Amino acid sequence: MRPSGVKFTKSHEWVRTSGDEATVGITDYAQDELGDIVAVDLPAVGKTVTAGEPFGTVDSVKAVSDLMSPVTGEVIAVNENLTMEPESINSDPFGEGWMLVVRISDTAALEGLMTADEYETFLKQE
Amino acid sequence: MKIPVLNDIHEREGAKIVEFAGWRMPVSYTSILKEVAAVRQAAGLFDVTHMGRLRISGSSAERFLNYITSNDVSSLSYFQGQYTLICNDEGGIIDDAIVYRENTDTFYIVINASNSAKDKQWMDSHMMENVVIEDLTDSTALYALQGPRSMDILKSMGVEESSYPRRFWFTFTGWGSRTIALARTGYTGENGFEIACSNKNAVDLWNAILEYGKDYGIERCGLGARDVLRIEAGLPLYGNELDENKSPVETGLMRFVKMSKPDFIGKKAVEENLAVPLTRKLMGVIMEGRSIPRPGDILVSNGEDIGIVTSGTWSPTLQKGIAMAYVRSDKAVAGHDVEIISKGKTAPGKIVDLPIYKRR
Repeated sequence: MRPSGVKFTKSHEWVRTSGDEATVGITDYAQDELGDIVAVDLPAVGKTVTAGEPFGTVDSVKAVSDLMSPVTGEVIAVNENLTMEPESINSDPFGEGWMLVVRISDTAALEGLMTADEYETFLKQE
Repeated sequence: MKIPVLNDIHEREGAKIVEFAGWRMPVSYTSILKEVAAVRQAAGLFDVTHMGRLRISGSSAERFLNYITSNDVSSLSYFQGQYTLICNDEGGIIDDAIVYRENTDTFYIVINASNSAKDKQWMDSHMMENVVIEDLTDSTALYALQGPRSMDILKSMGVEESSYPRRFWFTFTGWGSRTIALARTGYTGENGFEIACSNKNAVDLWNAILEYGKDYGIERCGLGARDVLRIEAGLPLYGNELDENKSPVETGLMRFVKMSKPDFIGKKAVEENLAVPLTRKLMGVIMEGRSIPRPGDILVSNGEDIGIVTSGTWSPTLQKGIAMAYVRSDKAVAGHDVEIISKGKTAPGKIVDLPIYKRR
């Protein structure tokens, strides 16, 4: 279910790195817990995000939740399709539901991320 | 923790369960959006067994209920019900409820699960002779069958059509050899029924409604959809729109408060409230774009704080963010432009009259 080569946060975001670029989204578990996602608020290209700090919000029908950045760096792409089709996050959280691409400026935060196996274990403990 | 009769079924069917007012209840089965759509377009079935259900009987039952509730119980015919408020001496709202009359001396009152213990204590402290209060909550189940196809589903189940009560009335009727209490009430803004039965029939009744409802597009619905539907329909929720610091005047519920009654708890305070200008009023808000108001968000007009959101949600029916909000009286006018500050961000919207959604 979860793609390989992806790392996870305890706040249920995922990150896929390629060189110094990191694609960020929320996990299958997160979208299922939230239920129907009806809006997202993401930073603009050029903004800086910081590991462990909020970079935006996601609205389910019932509640608004912070999105926590797994990485530090500059936003170089934003998934504009999510404005009109936020439900992509529910249907394809690791694909069409991607949120940001960040150019990583500090790799230290990557050390603390979980592998798919570690994330699975973490979910069982939650 | 209290557990509804259907708990095993809810768990087995993969419902998302939450604790609500001390009960383990389903918040959704599949998707809140899908469940809301089913109720607006076809039918939805809710387990609302957590709602408090009391039988109040005795030769003074009518006098007692007329004293502790705001609506006029004496006006009720047999098998008629009415929405009502329970107020404290200061006119604050202790709970909202529906009172049904079965006969001269027998009534039922349906109260909020979250207020059940408080209400019973309040009733005990105002007890009269020749009044008996029995709590039926744990011995019965309560379902809400809501949506335009509700009646078709009851018909197909073989529930005698001539027995269907009118809006806000109820009846005891047969489903096969079993007796159910069928009320034409709900919390969704759609045509529908609330159905009570004894615990021993609870599973069979639930399954039968779903089975016969399949052809009509029925969905099982949870508390999440119920909340969205009631916000769209402009129906207040205790703890959000109503509490002990709110008077019936500002909530817009004065049509359920009968000031012509000789006396009831809170009457004097409500009279005083009516004598002074209203400071705030419960209104609706419809947002522009996709921004979604949430409880606690502030309403701003021309740089001034003019109100606060008490309930907010994405409205799948309107495809917009909507809210119920207390708004300063001079700005509580439909059509007035406002901004809502949510999580430090400002989004535009418009004040509207309640209900936000009205069934055609």
